[in-house]
Amino acid sequence: MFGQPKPRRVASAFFCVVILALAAVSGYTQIEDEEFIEPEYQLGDQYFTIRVGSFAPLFFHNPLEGEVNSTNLRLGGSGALSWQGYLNNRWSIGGELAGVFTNSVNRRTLFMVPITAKLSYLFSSWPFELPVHIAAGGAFQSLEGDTYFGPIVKPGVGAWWNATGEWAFGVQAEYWWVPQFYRGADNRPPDTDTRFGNFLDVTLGARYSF
Amino acid sequence: MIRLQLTRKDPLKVFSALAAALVLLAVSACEHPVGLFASLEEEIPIDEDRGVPTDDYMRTMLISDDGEYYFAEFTSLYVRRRAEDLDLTGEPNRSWTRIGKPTAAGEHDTLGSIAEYAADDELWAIYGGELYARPNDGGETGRGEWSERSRPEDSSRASRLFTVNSKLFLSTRLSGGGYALYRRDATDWDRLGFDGVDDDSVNQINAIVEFDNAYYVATQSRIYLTADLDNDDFQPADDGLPTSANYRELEVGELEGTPALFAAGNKHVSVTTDGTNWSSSDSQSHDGEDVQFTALGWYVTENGTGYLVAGTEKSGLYEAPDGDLDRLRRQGSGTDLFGRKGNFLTTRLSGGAVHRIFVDENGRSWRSQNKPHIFVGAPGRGLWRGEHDEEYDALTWRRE
Repeated sequence: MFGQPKPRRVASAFFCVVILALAAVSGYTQIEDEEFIEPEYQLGDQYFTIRVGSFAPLFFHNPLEGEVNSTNLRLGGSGALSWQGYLNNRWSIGGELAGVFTNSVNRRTLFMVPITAKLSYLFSSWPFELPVHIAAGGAFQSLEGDTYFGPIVKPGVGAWWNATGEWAFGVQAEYWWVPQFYRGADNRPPDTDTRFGNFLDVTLGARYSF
Repeated sequence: MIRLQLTRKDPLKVFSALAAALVLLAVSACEHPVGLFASLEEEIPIDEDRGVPTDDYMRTMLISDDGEYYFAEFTSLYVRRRAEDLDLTGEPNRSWTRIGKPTAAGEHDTLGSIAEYAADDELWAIYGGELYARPNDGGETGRGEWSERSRPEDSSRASRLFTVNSKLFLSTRLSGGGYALYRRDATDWDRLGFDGVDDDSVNQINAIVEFDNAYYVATQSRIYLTADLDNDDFQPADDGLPTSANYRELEVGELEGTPALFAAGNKHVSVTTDGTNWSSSDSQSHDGEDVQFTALGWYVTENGTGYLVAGTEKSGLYEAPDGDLDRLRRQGSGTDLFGRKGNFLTTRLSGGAVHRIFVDENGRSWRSQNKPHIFVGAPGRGLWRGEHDEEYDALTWRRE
């Protein structure tokens, strides 16, 4: 079990990303005299992204009662690996595996592992890029041995700086909408336990294009 | 930039495979009694860190002679004030203090049992199979307060202490492997006999209560009674009860308003109102296993409704409103005390073993004065306290 989310853990993740960025910038300075030509992405161009950061529980929405209630969860940690391929210079599509953890006020740990398909549209002002995306799929959720699998929708926006032709570094903010539907059948929770979870995932990342 | 030779169909293939995987994964969702997010939403901070071990559990609780302190038996003895006074900062003064073991006890001896002995205003305890006593008040927690007491000469080691109707009883382990039961008589011990059982063949003694002017004893195998401790042996009192029931606890409560004696056994809780005619609950099982009932308590809510509360070896808590065993229900089954109201199902107390239940009819926490409190000893999960919460109109549980 993880302990409470520690600033040291988040700092370590941030440090890793900074190291990656410095390594890339080192390569960048060696070729800084070379002139970049803004790439024109084509079908077949692909990129991998790795992100780590913090995960902020926002609120639970009870759709039957119309109530918004506290999650009683604390700031957690998150990470993600994604692959996407360009369809053209603006649109890309791919998939993402993410994982988050966050502790409750009583140190119960909620894990969520979403597997999603991801569609992105790219705004570009070289060497900066601002992709907006929406991801949708399913998420494993676990709380002290109790598990649930349900849908998830994650719209988000990022800001990336292309350090080299291959490497880019940036930040991404993503809103997680995680509904849990219950119907009360077979000793499962009643429909009154249906909740829509709302979270905010903010991560730093490195992207490798090839 | 390297480009793979992907066609426009390739991403679609990837997503199709991903979607198929998700559908397969979706069928793996498990059963649980309360929604995950709904469970989190109901959480309140429950760990009060009052100073008792949360990886051990309370085996016995009692109230000091002056009514001002709780004593709790873990592997060590703990004491705390029964009332919670708010200090100058507005924080309740509620910590448990560990009472050191007797200086004569061995280095590795742990606390085995406690009971009060009203005749001498003493608290008795067993450490390492030997008997010790100290004043029955919580004001002094020094280990020097203990003094050794002699155990019966024919016993190899003291096993368990009981207090019933101000009388002190002692169960001892015999050298031959059986158990013996004694009653404290001034400065000596009187051995009590069991009709039809050899002196060295009595099973482990788990509970003693007084009901309807008679004393009842539950051993692992049978229930006995005697109306005259001074002159008569205990007689079997379990006609009509399930055999091999592994009786673990006796509790006096009420059956729909009539005083009743309850017994916790294997698969069943049983009840009698006249001491001879027993009836039992339906056979209880959970997750395909028989339910072993381990502890009983009689809890009366503020509105006067009485509940028989039953702990189990590994199936959490059961409750029977008005003592009606036909309405014996497991936690979360739409029940009152341990149902969906309140925070019970969100706690680590839910679903596991419960080995001791103690009810203080006049609990005195700073949140609720002179209201019934229920304490639960859960192996490996410490000591829990349930008290009525006006906001939830249900019991709210916190861990001491």
